[in-house]
Amino acid sequence: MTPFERFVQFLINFSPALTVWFLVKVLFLIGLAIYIAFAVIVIRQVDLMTQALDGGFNFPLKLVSRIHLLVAIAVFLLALIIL
Amino acid sequence: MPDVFVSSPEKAEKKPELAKKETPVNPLAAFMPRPINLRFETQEKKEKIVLLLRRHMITNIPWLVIALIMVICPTIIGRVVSLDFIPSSFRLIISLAWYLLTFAFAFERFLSWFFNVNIITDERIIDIDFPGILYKDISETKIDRVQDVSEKTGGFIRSLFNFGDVAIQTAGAIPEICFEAVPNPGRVSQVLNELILEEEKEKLERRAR
Repeated sequence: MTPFERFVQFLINFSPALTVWFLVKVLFLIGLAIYIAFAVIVIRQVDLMTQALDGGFNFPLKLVSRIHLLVAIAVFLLALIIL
Repeated sequence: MPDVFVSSPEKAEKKPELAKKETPVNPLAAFMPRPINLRFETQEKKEKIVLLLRRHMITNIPWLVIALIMVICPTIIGRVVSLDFIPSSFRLIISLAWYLLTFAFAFERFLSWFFNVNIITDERIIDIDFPGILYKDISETKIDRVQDVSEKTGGFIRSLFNFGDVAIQTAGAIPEICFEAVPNPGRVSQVLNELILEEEKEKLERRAR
């Protein structure tokens, strides 16, 4: 059996509902991975902004942007585990 | 022959009213005369901030309402529509992803409001804009290049909360700098006019010497 035939067999053996949820899971993981990239950009953006205007409120904003990234990673890992 | 253009020392030291008093910084204020412990990127050592402006706080209401709706949306949908066909693990991740998106939306809007500032110093007028993610647009002009200052307040909300636009015509490369939806536009243009007068006086004094 060629790898392609094995792949077709794998798809046939899958129940339709399971395949749908598997696809949704993959889409979710892709979406959350993109979100992590966005969270990294937000950190860069906050750094750029605080550089332009340096005031007393910069530390909390930097902290929030970093916590945001950590939460995004945590949600991605949670999705990877429980979905 | 009397010196016509030499002002008395008292007059020479006269500064705009706002330039005299320093105010403790409320980091979320939209109208900050002489803020302390606040600097901007291109600020020179001797340059002092006379006024820092943001859009009026009330301009944040639309996105705050949208964020609030986004927060309560999952609860309402959960009550109206039966979501039992979705596995519980997926429901959990959907909720978390939704709240992440909501947070990102609110945080981006807040950052946009907080860092899009207009600064008036004793030397320059600076308009710092962040039109998109990772984009920075800084326009500035020297006070002595300002040709005309005009303010515009109109409409019910703007009149009620006393905020509006201040347009500054310049003789520089940027023909106009506009402070949009800033609080106390009348006061802002008054400060600008005082600074322009002061700058003109300094010029005349320099010529007389």
